[in-house]
Amino acid sequence: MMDKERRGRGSLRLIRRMDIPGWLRLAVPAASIAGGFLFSAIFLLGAGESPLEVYGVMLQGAFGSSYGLGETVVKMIPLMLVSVGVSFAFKMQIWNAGGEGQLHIGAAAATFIILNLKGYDRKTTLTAAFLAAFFCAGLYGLIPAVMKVKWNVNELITCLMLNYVGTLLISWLIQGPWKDPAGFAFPRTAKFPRAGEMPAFFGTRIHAGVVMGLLAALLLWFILTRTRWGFEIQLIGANPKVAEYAGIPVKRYILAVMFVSAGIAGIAGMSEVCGITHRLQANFAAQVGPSGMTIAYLAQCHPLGAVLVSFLFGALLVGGNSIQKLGLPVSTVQMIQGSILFFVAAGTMFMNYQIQWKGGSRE
Amino acid sequence: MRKRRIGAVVVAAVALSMLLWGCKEKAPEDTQGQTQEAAQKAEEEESEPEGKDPDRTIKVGFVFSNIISTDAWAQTSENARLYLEENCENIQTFKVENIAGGADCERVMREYINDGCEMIVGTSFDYMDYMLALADEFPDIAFINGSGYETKDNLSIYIAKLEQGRYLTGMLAGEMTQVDKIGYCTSIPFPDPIKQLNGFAAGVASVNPEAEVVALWSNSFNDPTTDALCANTLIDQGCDLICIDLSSSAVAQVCEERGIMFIGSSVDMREFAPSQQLTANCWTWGPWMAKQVEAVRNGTFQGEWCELDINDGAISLAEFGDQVPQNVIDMVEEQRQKFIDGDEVFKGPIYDNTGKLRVPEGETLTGEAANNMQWFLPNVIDNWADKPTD
Repeated sequence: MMDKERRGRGSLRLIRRMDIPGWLRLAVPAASIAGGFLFSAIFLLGAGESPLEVYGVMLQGAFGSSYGLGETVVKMIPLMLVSVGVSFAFKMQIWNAGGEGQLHIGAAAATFIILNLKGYDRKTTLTAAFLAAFFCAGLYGLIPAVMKVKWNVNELITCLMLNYVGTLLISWLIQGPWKDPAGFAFPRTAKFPRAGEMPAFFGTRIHAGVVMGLLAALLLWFILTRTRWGFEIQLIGANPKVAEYAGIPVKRYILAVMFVSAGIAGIAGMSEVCGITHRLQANFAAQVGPSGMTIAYLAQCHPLGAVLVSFLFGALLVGGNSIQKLGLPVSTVQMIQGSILFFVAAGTMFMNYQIQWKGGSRE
Repeated sequence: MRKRRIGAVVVAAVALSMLLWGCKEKAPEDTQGQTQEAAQKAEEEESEPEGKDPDRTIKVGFVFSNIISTDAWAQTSENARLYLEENCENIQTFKVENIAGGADCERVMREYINDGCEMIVGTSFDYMDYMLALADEFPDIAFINGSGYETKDNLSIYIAKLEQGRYLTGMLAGEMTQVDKIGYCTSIPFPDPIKQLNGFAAGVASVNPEAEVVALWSNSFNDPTTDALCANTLIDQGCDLICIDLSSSAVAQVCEERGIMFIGSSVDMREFAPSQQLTANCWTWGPWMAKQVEAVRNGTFQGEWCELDINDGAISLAEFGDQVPQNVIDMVEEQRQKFIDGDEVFKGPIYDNTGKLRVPEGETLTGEAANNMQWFLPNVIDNWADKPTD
């Protein structure tokens, strides 16, 4: 019926691409970002600001100096680790929404090691902290995984709940047993000894977390695309029933992937406390968990894509702070950031679908 | 086979991470070098104090941990910024909002310094570590932080004897409550909020020994959802008056909706709740900050721990609501005058809510000791932190 009506008029058709060409993967986000800037420009003009000046200051802040660029990378590090971690689980259609909680557990584990492992050199201390963060956060991620495997409990819900447990645990630790005894009872731990601090590079605040994030992304990309494990993970993601019939141990994969996914998110917490704050305190990674999920989605769960999108996020955060000095209210800044993300999200449609103009048929 | 593979992965991971630390044992020296360089550069730029024009434009950069329009505490410092703009000659101020968590403040402050700011104002104890480090790196820049405990030659902390204002509103609450059950919505149980809570409770006890103060901690300074939940809980428990020590307007709005009297915090909250506010504890930093700007201008800025009080005009009460009878207003005014004349809030003997003597007869609790409080007065009912931690 529909076809009859449509005949002779022509219409737009969305056709799912079988293959996404590589250039499109970069061209679409680039065009989307430009679109976001253009869109925001309308409102900036309306508010009597010069969009060129605002964007100039924004880019200057995020990329204009080695320090600014360094800060962009610093903001990118935890986002990259969390998004790479959760996208690994997303790939298998396991919705690890617990990045926030896992990050906090990782940070707590690292803090515990550093504050208690006294008298060792930096190499030993940080390696221990790294492993503790990875394994504790991984185990924390196993809680929803086990519940999923054993009782088919929706992991999205349990992960979200465990976010609260993770952040509140930190809250309790810093207000209670781990409170800095010399800190006038301010709710935070003592400052880490030097052995617990990750050194910074290039006169910026960039720390070893950037290497961990890139390595994690590369490793997961390699596993996903070049190994049998990756093939089976993708198969489970495409259709778990079929995968089970094919003899793939789906449950074991769920446990393993959640462990790794959560472990990597935990490293984000460790790298923040060891690399930046040098102590555990509230809000040390504000908004990293939710942003990490957004990034994983925008990057379509591609580990290397998550690195690029995290960089974009970092730049938006750093540049956004810079333009406030022009006297722009923070709401305007958030609007610019939001519209860029909105355009990038909407742009993914052009990546996944081909648009065809189906001319009026004259059969 | 599989086990061996997993083992290999673990070993590789450990080896890799060892490598990671191994290759940069040297790095801290680099950053130190950089820091010293930057410090030297800063010194060179400012190396001619004699030549500084006293009429030059002083640039002051403010950093806020929250969004000013939604955060009463941030508004007190924003008011100070506006005061400087209005009352100081040759001054230019900047602000960056919503810098939560601390670490980002370092970048914003560095950018300020690059842009020629001579004075940096922070507003959160989360900024402390970063400001201390920056103060070392830039000895010619004046740093000021609202709350905290460590100071430097060029880093001041500004706080206030907020318990004075709290005591006055406590008296008001003790007189106004009909059911002798007063709610107190507050943030995180560390000494400053505890000191304010106890100041309030002391005020209540001074006029109404029967009344109890029920405290609820929201575990953050500004989380409208939880704040509203706290207010609703206290009202449901039968409190007929709520004192706020939170930065969102949520409690005020809940009280307005449910017709419960409240006492605002940080700024006058009638904007959000026009009819139910009895008064508000208002904090004013502007005049003190203007003095600091002049000190920077003359090169006499000296970092110190500044505890402002009612005599500095830092602590005041908002206009009283129509519900408050004149005799209560007079009583509060009388006590206010006593504070101006040097009266203290915490006068011994004071016992805590476990019966332990905290301040002996004839002594008072002020200054550092008051800012270290981790116990509660006997008329405080506390559901979370009710065990003294020392």
